[in-house]
Amino acid sequence: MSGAEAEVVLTVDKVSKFFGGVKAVTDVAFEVRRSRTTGLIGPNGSGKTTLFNVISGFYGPTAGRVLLGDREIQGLPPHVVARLGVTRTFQNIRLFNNMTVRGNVMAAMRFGSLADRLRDIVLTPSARRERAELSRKADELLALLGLSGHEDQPAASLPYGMKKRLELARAMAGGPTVLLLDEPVAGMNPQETSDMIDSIRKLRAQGLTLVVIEHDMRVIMNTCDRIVVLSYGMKLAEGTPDEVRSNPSVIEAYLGKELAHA
Amino acid sequence: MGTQIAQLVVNGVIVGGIYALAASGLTVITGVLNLINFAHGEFYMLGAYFALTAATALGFGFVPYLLVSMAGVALVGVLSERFVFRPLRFAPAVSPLIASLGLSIALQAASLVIWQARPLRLPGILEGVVFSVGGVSVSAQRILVCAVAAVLILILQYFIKRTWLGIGIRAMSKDLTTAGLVGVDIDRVAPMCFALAGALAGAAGALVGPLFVLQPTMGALMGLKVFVLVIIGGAGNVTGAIYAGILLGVTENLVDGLFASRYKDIIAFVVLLVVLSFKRESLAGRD
Amino acid sequence: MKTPVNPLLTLIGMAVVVLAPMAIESNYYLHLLIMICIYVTLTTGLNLVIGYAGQGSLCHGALYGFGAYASALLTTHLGFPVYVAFLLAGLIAAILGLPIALPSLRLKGVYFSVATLGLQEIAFLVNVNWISLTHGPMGIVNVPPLTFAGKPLTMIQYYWAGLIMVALTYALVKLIVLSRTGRELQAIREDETAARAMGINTYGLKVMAFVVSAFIAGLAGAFFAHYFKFVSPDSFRDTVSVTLFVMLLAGGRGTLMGPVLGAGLLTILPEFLRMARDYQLLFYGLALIVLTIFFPKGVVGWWESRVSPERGRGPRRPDSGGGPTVGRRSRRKEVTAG
Repeated sequence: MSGAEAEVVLTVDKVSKFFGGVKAVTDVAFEVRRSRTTGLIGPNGSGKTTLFNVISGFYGPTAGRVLLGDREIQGLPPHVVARLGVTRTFQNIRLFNNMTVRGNVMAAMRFGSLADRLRDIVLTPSARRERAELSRKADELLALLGLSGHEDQPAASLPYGMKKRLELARAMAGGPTVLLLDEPVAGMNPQETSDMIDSIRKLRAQGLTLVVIEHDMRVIMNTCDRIVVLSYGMKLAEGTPDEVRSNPSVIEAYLGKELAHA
Repeated sequence: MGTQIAQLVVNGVIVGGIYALAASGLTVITGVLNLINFAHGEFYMLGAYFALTAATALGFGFVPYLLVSMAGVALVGVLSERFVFRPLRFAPAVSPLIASLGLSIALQAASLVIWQARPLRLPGILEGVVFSVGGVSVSAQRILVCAVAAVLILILQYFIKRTWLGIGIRAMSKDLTTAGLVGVDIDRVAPMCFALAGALAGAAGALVGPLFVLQPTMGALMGLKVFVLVIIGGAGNVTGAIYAGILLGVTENLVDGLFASRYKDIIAFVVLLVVLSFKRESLAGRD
Repeated sequence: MKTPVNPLLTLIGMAVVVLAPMAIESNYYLHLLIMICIYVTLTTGLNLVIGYAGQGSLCHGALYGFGAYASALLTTHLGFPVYVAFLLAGLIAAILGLPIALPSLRLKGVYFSVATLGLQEIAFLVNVNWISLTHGPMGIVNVPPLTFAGKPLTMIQYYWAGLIMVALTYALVKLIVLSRTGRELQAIREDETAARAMGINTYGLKVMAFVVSAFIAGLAGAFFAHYFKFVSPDSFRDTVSVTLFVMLLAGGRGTLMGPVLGAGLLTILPEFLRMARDYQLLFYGLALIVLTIFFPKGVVGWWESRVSPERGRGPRRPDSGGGPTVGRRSRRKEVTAG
């Protein structure tokens, strides 16, 4: 890392999540610094998505805390967590299928206040201006992610790779501080994967803080500053890509072949 | 006072037995097939009317009209499964609920057309015989009702535990896919479940026939209450349905008798809301 | 909507709707038209909850009743002027709708519907039994009529009043649906989990949709009270809730014209077929089953799917607001957190 350490933006503090007897996540702790990209890897079932669900508010943790800056956010409902600045994408795409591409992005744009919402319903001139402005911003975001020209299509009609990028755009729409990406390149061919890596790099360039769950080591090695390795719900290792790659227990756990090819 | 309470409790148990009988059939459908059937009350109502027709038009005695009634409603159940619920097997969960509401209305209306709204009564078989123990009296008719209900429920329990169909049903309620893999054919089990539920509901109707005046709307409130019992007792849990049924019967009777309350029918719905509010944590989107 | 509508045609259509009934002599047909106005209002409001927020409410008959009784009681027992009571009735229904909405909207799908049905039953039973307040099955009589220039409205004037109510309701719902709030509602319908993850307060929005629809139902109830000049529990029971549901389903939930078509069709059809009361009920029941199985999208949805195939839809409006972009509702499976 060059220069002074950036501030800590997201802290996972000894988080555990048990479902009855099943210990999905046990005592996981790590910090995420501003504008850095952290990879979260581990075999299937190691608790990665569960951890995302805890961070994003879909689950309350059985133990532990999640902090955004100084503020404790564990246990807050998902929409509050999103408004505080943590948004996410989903492993299995969850787009608003019958909405347009632009509509998907605009749906994620927030109101300033209840008064703004009421003005929008009644369509005051300032509300009209606001809508036009948001529409413009949405189009900019879509352009950034290579989705120009598709703004008016129903989201369901997009090819797979674009749908994933649309999810990304939508998660960006609210101006988040931290973005959680859950397997952004799952099921993609090499070209789509490459496009997605580009998109992720653009987000990094904008200064966004990212946490990425992935199995594809190429993506991890190409985008992440730090990697956290989970196994059976516990943190196995943490460090730079090189450190993790050469960590014997990680290699032993499961990496082996994938790392050799990355 | 004590005698009064005892009498209320005894009457409540009998009513509860009927609730339990109707609820145990519905809980099988809800638990195994994951269906909410709002027409179940109408199965009960049809049971009473089929029994009436068998008794008056065909001159059947108690056991024959009971069996006719059970068979008739079982058939209605099978037809309902085939033409109302099966087409909606893959539709969103609300669809079968709405369709069953439609079925409920249609069956009520059909009965209204066929039997008119004339208040009719099933002749009882033990008219006039009353037993008294320590100030608490029960008519023989009511005892018979309770006894038959108990027998049918026991048969149901045995059936579910021992026969291949029963085991198949239990397997399906645990995991539909695995059950399918192991050879349980849902297209055969589903109609069976409905036949079972129909037979039991029909029996409940036929049994209460002699006790109350028959009306096409008699199933409406019953259907809703029985549904509440299924939720309280746990979908698929026959024992739970039984306890819930008896509990509701006794509570309603006590409230009605002790407080001269016209609101006894509300109890079931208030309990429903209370129970639903406890289901919250698993349903509010935080899985 | 999808294709731009000829403004001249719309104007002519509206003129017909407003003026043509003046030629009707028979009070019976005017009565039907007035009933259509009431049902369209109710169904349009219900559409907000069922069609846009995606929650199957079965208690709107009760909300309708709250408005009717509120207005009836305010005018007969407390001497409020009719039009003031009318507005208050809507507010009262909305206020009473809140304690109904808040707990029950925490429940998922089917359980919400069941909870509302339970509440509907409780409301009916309380209505019938709380004699000191509601006069039970006797109902409330001598409810004052709506007036204009000091005189009670004639039938045709009631129809026009009904049209005004429909127009205002339609405008309100349309504003909401086409706004960003409407888009958020659509997001909830499409994928509630994703909506929450994007910062949409799904619970709050559902409550809002419910309360607004309760307000609308309350207004319709007040209209009922001052038109029939009599209210009784039977007009606001579970079968009414189900009837409204059928109307919405038949017309097409989640569309703006759906409620109008559905309510219109299902008010006229039974009369048209000259059915006896009992057969009418049978018709509704069977209609509900057939609709649920074969036409879950209703008339409007079915029409849209025939006119514009999945992909190449006609010129779409630019995304300035929200709004119903595609008539088709995706078949949602059970929602689980990703």
